[in-house]
Amino acid sequence: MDGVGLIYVGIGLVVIGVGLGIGRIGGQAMDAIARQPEASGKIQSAMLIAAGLIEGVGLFAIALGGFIK
Amino acid sequence: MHSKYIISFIICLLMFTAVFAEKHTDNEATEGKEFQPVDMIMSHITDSNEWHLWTTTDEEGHEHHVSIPLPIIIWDGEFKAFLSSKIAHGHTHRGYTMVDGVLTATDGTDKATIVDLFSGLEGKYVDLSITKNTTAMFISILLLLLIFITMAKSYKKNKLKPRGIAAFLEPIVVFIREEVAIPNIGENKTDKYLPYLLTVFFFIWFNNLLGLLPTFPGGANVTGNIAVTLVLALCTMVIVNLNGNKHYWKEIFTPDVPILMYPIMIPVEIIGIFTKPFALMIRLFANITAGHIIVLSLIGMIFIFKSAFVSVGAIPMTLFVLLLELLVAALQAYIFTVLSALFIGLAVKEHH
Amino acid sequence: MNPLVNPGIGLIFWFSIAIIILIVLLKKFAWKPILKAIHQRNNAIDKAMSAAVDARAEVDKMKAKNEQIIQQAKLEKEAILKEAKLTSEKIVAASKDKATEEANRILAEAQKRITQERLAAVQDMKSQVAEHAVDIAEKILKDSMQKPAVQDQYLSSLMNDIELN
Repeated sequence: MDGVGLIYVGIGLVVIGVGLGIGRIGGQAMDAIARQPEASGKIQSAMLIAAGLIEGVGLFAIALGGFIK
Repeated sequence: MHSKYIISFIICLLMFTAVFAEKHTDNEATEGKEFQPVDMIMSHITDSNEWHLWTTTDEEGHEHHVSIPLPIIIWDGEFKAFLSSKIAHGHTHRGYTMVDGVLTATDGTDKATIVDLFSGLEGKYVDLSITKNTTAMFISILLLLLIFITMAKSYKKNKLKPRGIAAFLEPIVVFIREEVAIPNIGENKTDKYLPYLLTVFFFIWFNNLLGLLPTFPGGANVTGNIAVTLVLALCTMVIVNLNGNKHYWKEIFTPDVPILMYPIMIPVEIIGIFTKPFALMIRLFANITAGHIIVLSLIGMIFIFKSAFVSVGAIPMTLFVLLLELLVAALQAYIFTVLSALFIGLAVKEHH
Repeated sequence: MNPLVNPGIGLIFWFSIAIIILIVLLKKFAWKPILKAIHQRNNAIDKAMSAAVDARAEVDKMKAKNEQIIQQAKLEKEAILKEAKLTSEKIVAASKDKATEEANRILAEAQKRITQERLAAVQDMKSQVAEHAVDIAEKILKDSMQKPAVQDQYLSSLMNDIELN
């Protein structure tokens, strides 16, 4: 396996991590909304921001893959 | 009611796409030319120097491209400006030609990129052409000005109740103010940064939506172009660092950690100044580009398998992804705006 | 480097200019008037709301006042009615008394008059009876006196009386 292939494996690993992270955020947000439905607006925006930040990590990996190649 | 019409309209549109797709496949099959999905996708999501509308093939198998010519402006020691129609169809003009719609020097010199701004422009030509993305960006800017100045004027007539476009956009403007700007920046400093946040939000949102249109005046991948997101992120970075208060700079140069940690923390904080806008840039670029790639890949399936029957699966999937992209278009604009507001807020908020 | 992440200078150049112009133009011609209009309208709505609340309170106050006035009027009315009833009863009673008195008086007078009349009549009758008796006696006497025997007898009796005396 050459270097380029390894880059893609690395990106894949990062994306798995990001997926788990965003999944967790979504799940916890659902829990929180179920517990406090009246705060759902605030929870949703906080969830989106957190998900956006984590998503950034995955996109970093993908974009850096592009930079290296 | 309206959503029903819209959905049936989209389905009709996609059915037409399928019909055209079949025709194309036939032509390409007769020509025996292999379909290159990567080339097709790349040509759609990258910039080009002409606005390609459609291609027809006559009885002899010759392809005719119908494109809107765009002005080309080059500086390579001397200033050159001409329309892209002069170098279309393989013609050469003043040492330049177009390969797959992209300006190329015939003598093999490279186009200067953002990296070359730092490493020197020796042996490169500077391309300031009004490209497809630039044109689309100008169109969207005109659209934004038209819509929002109309909206502003409508308030002079309707003082008590927003009407027309204002009735639709006012809740969004208020949302950005009340839910995005004020919680992050604080009530008394919001007014200073709100115009920037609103402009960025609507610019990104409108361009995301225009990018989802199949052809002129949309179809250009403006917010999925890293040059655009780079400038947007730079704007946020400049605003954050020009307006950063004492507390913001104190956090960077004398963070609240033991002195021994300073050699680690200060570089990390300084890198943080750049990584925050960098993340903004990459996030928007990658999200929008990824969306376009997915849609094009699904449509490309029909050509890869050379069968109209694939469209039975590919078209509903495309429809689904497009609907998802409608959400993503608003979501990414929102996230960019929220994070910009957050970074600005971190830099300017009063701490007690 | 992938051309996707290695942008040319052209778009960066044009977009930098365009976004700054866009921000300036939108700020001046769109966001300022729009936010100002929204702000003014919010203020107007707030003012109208507070005015409405004030008006409502005023109305409530007026209502309470009216209620009070009505209550007072009711009480007054009842009092007046009571008084009127009392007065009328009094009047009735008084008139009844007066009437009774009058009647009694009339009755008494009538009785008195009747008695008087009766007495007068009796007197009259008495005098008439006496007159009639005298007349009758006179007639009888005349009749009897016309006869000489009777006259003689009478005279003799008278003579007797005188003789006796």
